[in-house]
Amino acid sequence: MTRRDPAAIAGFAVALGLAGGLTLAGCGEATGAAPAGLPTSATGVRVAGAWIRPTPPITNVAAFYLRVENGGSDADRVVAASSPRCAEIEIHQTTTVDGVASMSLASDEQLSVEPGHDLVFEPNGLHVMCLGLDEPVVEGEAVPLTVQLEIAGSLTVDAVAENR
Amino acid sequence: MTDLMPPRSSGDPGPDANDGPSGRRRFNDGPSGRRRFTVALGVVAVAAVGVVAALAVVSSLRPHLYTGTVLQGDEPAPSLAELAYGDGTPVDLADFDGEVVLVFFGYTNCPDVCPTTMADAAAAVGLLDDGDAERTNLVMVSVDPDRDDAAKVGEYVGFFDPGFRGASGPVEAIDRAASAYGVFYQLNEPEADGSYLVDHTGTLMGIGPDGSVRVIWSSDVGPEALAADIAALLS
Repeated sequence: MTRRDPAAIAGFAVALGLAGGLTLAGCGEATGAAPAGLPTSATGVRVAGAWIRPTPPITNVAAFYLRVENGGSDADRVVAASSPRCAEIEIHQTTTVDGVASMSLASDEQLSVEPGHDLVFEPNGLHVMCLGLDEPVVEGEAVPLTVQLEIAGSLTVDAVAENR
Repeated sequence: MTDLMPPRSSGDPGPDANDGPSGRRRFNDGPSGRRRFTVALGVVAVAAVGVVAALAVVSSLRPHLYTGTVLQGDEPAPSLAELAYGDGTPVDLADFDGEVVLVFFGYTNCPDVCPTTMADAAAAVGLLDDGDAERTNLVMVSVDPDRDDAAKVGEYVGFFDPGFRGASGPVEAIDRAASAYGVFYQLNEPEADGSYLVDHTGTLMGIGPDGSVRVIWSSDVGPEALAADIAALLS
């Protein structure tokens, strides 16, 4: 879980004080972590920093990584994801025990995000697995990804294809 | 030290000229002030060179602290000769004498750990100087031979770095190699569409220039630490 930095917290507090409540614009400006225009739900949840690793032509699986930022006041939970590029998507958690990596469907608990917290999908951890990828992901392209949350509903972003 | 000083101009009247019109001596204003400054600069420069040289000596003497787990012992790395590359050539670790070989067991339908590890390994090679990069190899062995033949694994790793090589072979040979390298793997139950995941040891094993397994890295080692360890193995 990534915590917001103190400046962001301060900015958030100021936004709260001025507006007398959470404003989406205030939240976005306060964190400054993502470009403007990221879709944000009415409940203050947004998906930021989405990326996907370019894929070798001979495979048809891939993984999306992203951050679900809950700037709202209620807990929420990722329930599904989809992309026009993937026949199927599963949300997985990689667990490494004694060097052995295994993947399992992420649990409800692993996909919950408390208010003020981020749910981080990153390599060797939580990831959105794309099965039946239609064609190789090429560095630099944008791959649409829709993340569905229990309360916030669906948020669609472009995942940037890059090697990190 | 004197050779660092600028030559005096012929018209230099000497230190007394350093006194300003008011008779007050002004720092660093006249030729001798400049000279002192130059001398000081020279001293600082020489000292700096000395410090840098001393640091270089110290750091070359200090043993590299590996990020990966270092293995003791000098028995040769387990043979992979029962496995072959895509062109049918058996994997002969002797081809890499005097070089580093990273050995990885994975599969090409792996969405997270394998591509992350291969991308990190490729990035690490990119961080090495040309000589070290030239002497760094990677062989990925498939733990999913039903879906991966050696050519496919080779194409897979070649996507990340054209120098990386892929190997596969009969299940029994893969089992023997995996077990010799302390690698565990198991195929998961297929899903409705027949696809399945494979649990596997996601570590990178580093065979040193002497031909024995020297370092084991976890899959989250990252390119910088991996490159530093490889450079140390090659030094």
